[in-house]
Amino acid sequence: MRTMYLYKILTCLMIWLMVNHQAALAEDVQVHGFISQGYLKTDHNNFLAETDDGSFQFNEMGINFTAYPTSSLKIGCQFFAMDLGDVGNDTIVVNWAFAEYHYQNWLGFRAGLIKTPFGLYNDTRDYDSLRTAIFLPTSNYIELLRDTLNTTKGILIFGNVPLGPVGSLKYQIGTTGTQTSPESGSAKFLKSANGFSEISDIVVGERIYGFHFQWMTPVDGLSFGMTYETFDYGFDAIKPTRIGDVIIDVPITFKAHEADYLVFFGEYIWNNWVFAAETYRHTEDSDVYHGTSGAFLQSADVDTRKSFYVKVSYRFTDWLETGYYYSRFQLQPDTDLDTEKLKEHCLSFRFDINPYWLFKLEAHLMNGEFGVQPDNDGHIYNEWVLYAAKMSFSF
Amino acid sequence: MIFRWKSKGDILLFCLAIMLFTAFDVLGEAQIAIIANKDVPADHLTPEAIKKIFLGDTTNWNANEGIIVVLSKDETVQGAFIKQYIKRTPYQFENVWRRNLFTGKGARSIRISNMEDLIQFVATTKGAIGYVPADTNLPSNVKIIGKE
Repeated sequence: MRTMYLYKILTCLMIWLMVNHQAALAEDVQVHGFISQGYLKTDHNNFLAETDDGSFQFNEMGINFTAYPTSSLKIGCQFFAMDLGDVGNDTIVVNWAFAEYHYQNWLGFRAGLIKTPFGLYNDTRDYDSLRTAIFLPTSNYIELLRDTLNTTKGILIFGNVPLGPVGSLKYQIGTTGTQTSPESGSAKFLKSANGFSEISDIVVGERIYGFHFQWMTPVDGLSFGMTYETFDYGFDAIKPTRIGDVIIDVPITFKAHEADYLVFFGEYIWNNWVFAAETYRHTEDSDVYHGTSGAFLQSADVDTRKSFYVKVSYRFTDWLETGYYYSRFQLQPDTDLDTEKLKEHCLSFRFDINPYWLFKLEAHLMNGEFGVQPDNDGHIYNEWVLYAAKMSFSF
Repeated sequence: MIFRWKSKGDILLFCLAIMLFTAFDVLGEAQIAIIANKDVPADHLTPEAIKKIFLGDTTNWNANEGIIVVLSKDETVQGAFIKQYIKRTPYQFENVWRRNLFTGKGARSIRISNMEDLIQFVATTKGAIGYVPADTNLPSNVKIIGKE
């Protein structure tokens, strides 16, 4: 009830601000926000929501405030709510809230709840107006992991180091941590990917160490970079297991001792074109133990080194942009299981009605069953299509 | 012979082909000067330095001296500025600042509609940098630090 009350206040405030096109409430406090509403439909399977019948459970909204006590010190926060199937459910969370001290171009400090630097687009994935496609490629940006990967709490140092004739190097290095609940998208993702009926006591990345580098080359618009993160995670779960003709609930404890993310990326902005590509390698050494006796049951290692995407987008006019990407996610390098793979061709159209209002349409030709739920008749198909439409307002 | 779509792949290829043959939109032609508050510790900036400031890559003049980027809401002036100094599309330029605003990261910026207000803001704000048509009359507490 309290959440709904806050939600209504937030919505009214944002609408009032958008109607008035105000960029600031006071001289030194900047206020910006966005609202988006989408629709998802699949021809087969359910994906992310009840898409077999079509679903409007796909929206985001946020409002942020930024103040500058001095010319080098910035303080800000953003309230955010989203809904994607049964994830989010429009619960308002603090999406980012940090203080930033920027001493020099090459050295700054950021502390608080921070947007995680991860590949090219992780820190902007909540903002529909910043990209061509509705969904980022699944190979690198798994939607259900968004709540865990998107924001972390900790300290970062960052800067932009000039490299003379070879360009400059942007860096972010830090240690952070994240809090994940059994209701989070990440928990639901783990549950669905492993066939657990229940998941509890999930701890993901109590301590995350990582760095993010981006080399801005002397060629205008061309950059390359990498992100690395290492962390531990674990949880308790119930795994329904068939023994003979009987299915029994087996309690298990899952421990990932060394989970690493390694992403290499490149982007080239040339005239109306944007080209980008990213690799995605998630490795982890995981063990599964019996939940009550503590006996070792099996290893559950992961290596997604064959996952990547390539994308291109082109802006025709100030109101029309289109983009295409090919993405491949593969849970193990040599797997033959359709449930461990997902390939997609995505074609997107973006229509900018005015600088504050846009509409997008896209189609994903999918091959694979990773993260896919059966359709309403209980069938899973390997080849299927996801259609998405989304309208967004921002100011 | 009548062309028929044979597969969804044909449609994708067609769209990509259209993207290849569409020309770049040309923006306004007005000459633009880069102005800054008189206390800014720079008297002349190269086009590359200007570009880095207005793309948010350079955020400080010196230690503890942050840059405040002043953007014009006048589409003609902004279009000419982007064409002359940034060499990106207006959409790409906007995306840089939207990204900063939404993530809370990057340089500080402010948008001002009226050119007189913009000049006044630059004149009275430490660390401010903006752009105006080159033939604009400027007060003494504003200096030109870039002109192509």
